[in-house]
Amino acid sequence: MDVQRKRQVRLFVALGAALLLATGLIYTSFNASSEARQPSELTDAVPGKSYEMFGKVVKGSIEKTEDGIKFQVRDRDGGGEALPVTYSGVVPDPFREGREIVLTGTVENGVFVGERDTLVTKCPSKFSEKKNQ
Amino acid sequence: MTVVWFVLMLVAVGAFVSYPFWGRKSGSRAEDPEIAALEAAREAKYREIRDAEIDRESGKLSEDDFRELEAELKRDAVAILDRLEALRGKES
Amino acid sequence: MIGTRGDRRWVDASRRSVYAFCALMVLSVVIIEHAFLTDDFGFEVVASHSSIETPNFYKFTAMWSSQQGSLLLWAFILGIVASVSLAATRHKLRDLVPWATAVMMGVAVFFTGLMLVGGGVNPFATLDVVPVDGSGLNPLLQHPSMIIHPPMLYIGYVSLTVPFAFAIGALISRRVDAAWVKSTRGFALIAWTFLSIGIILGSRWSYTELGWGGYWAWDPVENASIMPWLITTAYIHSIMVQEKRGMLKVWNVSLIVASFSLALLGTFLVRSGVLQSIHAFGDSTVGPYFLSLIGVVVAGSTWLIVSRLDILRSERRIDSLASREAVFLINNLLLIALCAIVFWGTFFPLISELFTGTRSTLAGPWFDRYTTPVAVVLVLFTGIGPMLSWRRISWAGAKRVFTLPLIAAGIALVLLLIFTDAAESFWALAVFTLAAFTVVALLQETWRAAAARRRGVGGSVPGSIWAVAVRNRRRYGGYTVHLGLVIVLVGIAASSSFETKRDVVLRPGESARVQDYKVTYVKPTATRNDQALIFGAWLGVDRRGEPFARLHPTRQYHQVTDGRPRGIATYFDGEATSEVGLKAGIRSDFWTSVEPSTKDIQRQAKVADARFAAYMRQVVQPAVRKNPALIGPMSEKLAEIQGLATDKIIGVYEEAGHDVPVTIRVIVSPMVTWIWIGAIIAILGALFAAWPSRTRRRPA
Repeated sequence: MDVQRKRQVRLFVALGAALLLATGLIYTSFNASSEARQPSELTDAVPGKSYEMFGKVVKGSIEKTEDGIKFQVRDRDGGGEALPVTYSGVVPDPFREGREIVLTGTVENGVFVGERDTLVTKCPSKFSEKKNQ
Repeated sequence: MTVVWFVLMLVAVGAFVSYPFWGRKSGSRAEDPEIAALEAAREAKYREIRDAEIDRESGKLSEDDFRELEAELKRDAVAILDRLEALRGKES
Repeated sequence: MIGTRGDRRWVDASRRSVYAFCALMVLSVVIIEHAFLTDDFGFEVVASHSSIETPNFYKFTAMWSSQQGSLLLWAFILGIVASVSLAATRHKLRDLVPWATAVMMGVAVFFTGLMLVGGGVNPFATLDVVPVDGSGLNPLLQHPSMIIHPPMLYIGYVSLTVPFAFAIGALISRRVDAAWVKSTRGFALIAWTFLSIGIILGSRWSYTELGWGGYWAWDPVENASIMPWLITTAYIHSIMVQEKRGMLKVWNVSLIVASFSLALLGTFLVRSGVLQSIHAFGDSTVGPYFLSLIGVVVAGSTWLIVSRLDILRSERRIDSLASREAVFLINNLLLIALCAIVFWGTFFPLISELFTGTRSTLAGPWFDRYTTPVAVVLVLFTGIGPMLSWRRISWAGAKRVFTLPLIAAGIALVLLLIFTDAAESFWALAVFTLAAFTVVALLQETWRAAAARRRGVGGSVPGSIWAVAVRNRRRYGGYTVHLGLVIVLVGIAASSSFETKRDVVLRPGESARVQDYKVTYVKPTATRNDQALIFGAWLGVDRRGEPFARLHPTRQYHQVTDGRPRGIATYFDGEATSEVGLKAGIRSDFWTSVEPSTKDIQRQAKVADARFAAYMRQVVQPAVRKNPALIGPMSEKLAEIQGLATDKIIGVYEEAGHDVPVTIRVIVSPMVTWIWIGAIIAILGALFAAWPSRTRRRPA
């Protein structure tokens, strides 16, 4: 093959690989992702399907259980029904009532069962560099 | 009070920035971009030659390949040096 | 810009205005820092981020924990790097420097304009009512790593402005040869180095200070810093090809545009509410402005590049795939692929919302799954790159170069399979094997070059290695960086694939087994300092019967500092931080954290506070009303009593009768320390490469 042909072949191979990667990425990401929903949107949740639930921890609702904690979460704006949550795993340092949290899990019998170690608590202050898992 | 500071700063900055227009010292001389580009190319060529030498010593380049490459690189370097001479000659 | 038409005085004036900008930024920073250090709570930023009790060191660093302060920091660093870059090029690059200046100052105008007009982000904003004390600095930030981490990242981001501006200048003035690249390479290296430092500090802080025991969570803000890092890495390699062979010019301008845009994006992500992140805060007002800037940068640069495509065409073609140029090109592609994966995953919530109407997120495991293969291939190429020569390598040459590393990889693979259970994780095994290949390749390169020198000039082995390295700083600095990075990846592979994590609930005296360690909860501890109550646990750790470590993880409950009346129970309403009990080692780390059970204590504290409040109402306040002079001594006495009460209450936690179980998290992580060691090696390598060399050899 002369040089020009070789270059064309290389270009096609590269583009093909890129296309493959892109397709793979798109396909798997839509499959592997969890929908982000607030408690009020989870009333029609599909049992067993993984969701990423975010909302505010209801004041006075945090209780310790045998292997973790249980608490209740409302929508960010405070409206709607409180959703009961059970969770075991790491509880991040800033976790407390009134804070916004994000938790991945499934809905079982009206209770949101959180996946282990997926509780994330957002920082309350306007701008401070904090990290938690 | 703050207004006074503000005006003072404005004047100071203005004077500093406009100095090239009224000051006595001469400003920067700019070199000819052609010459600059050639000098950069010359340095790059020297580096290439040095890299080739290192490659030969590490055994990546065989003696024959090295000689061929070195000759080509040195030809390129000479061409660059010639053009530099010509340009510099024109300037003076 | 008028200067481009020949009148040097305008160019000099513009350069001076950059110096003036820098001076004004320095002045601004000095003013704000002075306000912090003197507790001038008239400034809103000081009142909301500092307090009288905050230690002086943290008062100084609190400036950049605020939105306004960090914008000021950005502008300040920009002033410095812009001035340095212009001073260094004041006699050069006459055609493109004015444009570069314009670009850099354009960015500066953005940041300063934002501070003045952006809505709530003026660092000099004052409060009408000066509070007596400020809200204080978030306790999680009162840690050395967390304080240095932002400026390091910012220096990294901002330094990218220089090569970017010069690239734009080169494109506009049509002077796209290697001169602009050469003048700004230093800044690209500085950017890379500081980004690396910032990223690794963030990881280390997360590992040693937070209660989850991990160092990377694929959080959007973490990703925001690694994306420009990846592209800058590609850029640094790619410009070598342009310098040596005049190729990849289009790649280089595109890469630096991408790098700078990602840096802006990174700065933006931290301060907008666009993505759910532990770092993201509310919906701040500056978000849309940043997006506009990024849009302008990307659109404008793309148009420029496309319109200059004719002069960007390279002078030569890649001769063969088995050459360093080809490997660098593949390297570009791999790094871009990695960055694309991270980008896609980070912005997926927005993308999915765009296309399906619902927001979906991708969690850590997805990122791990797709970045791992690319990263593993990169490990291989960090070895292959140094091994090849420019242009092409002969078959005989290839044999000479590849044989030893391949054998080493094979031996490593066999040893790993026989003596360890590394085979349980395919990717970890792949990383280890390829790492063996690469490390041997790098050592071989260095050895052979040193040996050649000894043949010629003589000298000891270490001496010649040093001599060769010093004469080729970029090459051997680069090899050192490669070595460091491979070590980091080995550490990551080992610690993520083979860690053991367990949560155990223990009463004092009880123990649990984790791998071949025995953890015993010896006794509870309770102390306090000015700002927090500290509850912890003494843990005795034995390994195979031998004493291994005594660790003391704690949880700190910080007092509320928002002006509310402070009782004892309010310690539990403030921020909580963790102190980790860690025994690090070369082979593995033993990491512990504790979750104390504070229900009893909280109850007692509430009771005490109620009694205290009643006492205040019924006795103290009437007395003070009758005789106001009593306020001073009464306050002191009350504070003293409250202190004593607090001591008594927390003392309950340590009492023998307090037989309450606590949750202890134990993580045994192999080879985590190698991550930090590898990072240090890489950063030292970068510094070595960037150091200006004294000698300049001229071949005859």
